[in-house]
Amino acid sequence: MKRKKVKVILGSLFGTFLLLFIILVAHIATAKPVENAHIQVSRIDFEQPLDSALSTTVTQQLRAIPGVKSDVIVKNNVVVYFHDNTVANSQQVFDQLMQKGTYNAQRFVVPAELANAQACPVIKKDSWSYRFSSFVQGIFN
Amino acid sequence: MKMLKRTAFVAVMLLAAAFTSCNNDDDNSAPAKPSIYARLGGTTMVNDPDNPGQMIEQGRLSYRKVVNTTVGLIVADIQAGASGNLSAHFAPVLAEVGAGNTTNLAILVDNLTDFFSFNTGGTNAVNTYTGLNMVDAHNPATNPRMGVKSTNADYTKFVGYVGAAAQQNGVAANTELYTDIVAVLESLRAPIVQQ
Repeated sequence: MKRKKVKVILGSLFGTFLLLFIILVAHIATAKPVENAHIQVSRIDFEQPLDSALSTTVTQQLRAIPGVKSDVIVKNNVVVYFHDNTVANSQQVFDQLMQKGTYNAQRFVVPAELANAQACPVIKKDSWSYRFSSFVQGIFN
Repeated sequence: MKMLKRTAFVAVMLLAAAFTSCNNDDDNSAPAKPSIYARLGGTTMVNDPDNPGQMIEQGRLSYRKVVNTTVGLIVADIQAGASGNLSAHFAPVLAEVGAGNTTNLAILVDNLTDFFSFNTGGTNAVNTYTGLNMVDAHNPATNPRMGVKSTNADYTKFVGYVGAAAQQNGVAANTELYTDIVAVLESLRAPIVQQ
């Protein structure tokens, strides 16, 4: 009698776990993947404001660098662009642009006071949960 | 008798014609205005310039470009210690990006694109918005990546950034489309401004 009770309890626990696991997998599988998941925004500050011609040239040169996306924003002496950081990081894009012309510019780094702003812990890419989610999404997407 | 029948028939036909032509069942109302999403290109599939080989709805692409440009203009204005820009609101996300983690920037851009697309007529599944509601999304207590609560002035500045971004992407300020986009943004002021 006691053994039967234990069996029922264990069975129930296993059943519940299985059900929750299936719901988790279904949830991950049906989640819409984030578009441009590795997009990074970076900025280059030029010494002087860019006139129309230089603005066009820099935009074209940036877009020609592998990994840089189509949206390049020029405002006064600042150029902001988006890039896939798995293809080229901010420094690599900056270095490649500097090779395409003689520019007096520097890569913008987020000021310390902003960089130190508190934010929630982000998901670690070597964590079990990240790997599991990526694995399941990889199967269904 | 035959003459009378003929006359009666003609009279009935004339009356019918008169009533038909005079009734006001005719649909004289102006055709319904297409949604903002439709006017931005709608569901027409085009090549995604940021993902070679992939197609994207033109309406969604238009919104994504405006969202990216808005983010870009805000980032362009960031100065250490300077007031008057929105860096404090985006500080957590920018700090993560600066540290090489871009996950939340990607989610922010994706969520904004989904939100505006879905709520202005782009109701296909690709635009389904899964983010927080507008009140929770702009409250640092429920969304830790929102640096601080927004004031009325902050939101006005943000609307200005979106307007500038729309213009940079081909929506002229003197058009009805531009006015309609601003109206959508204004409809969100109440839940977003929380101080």
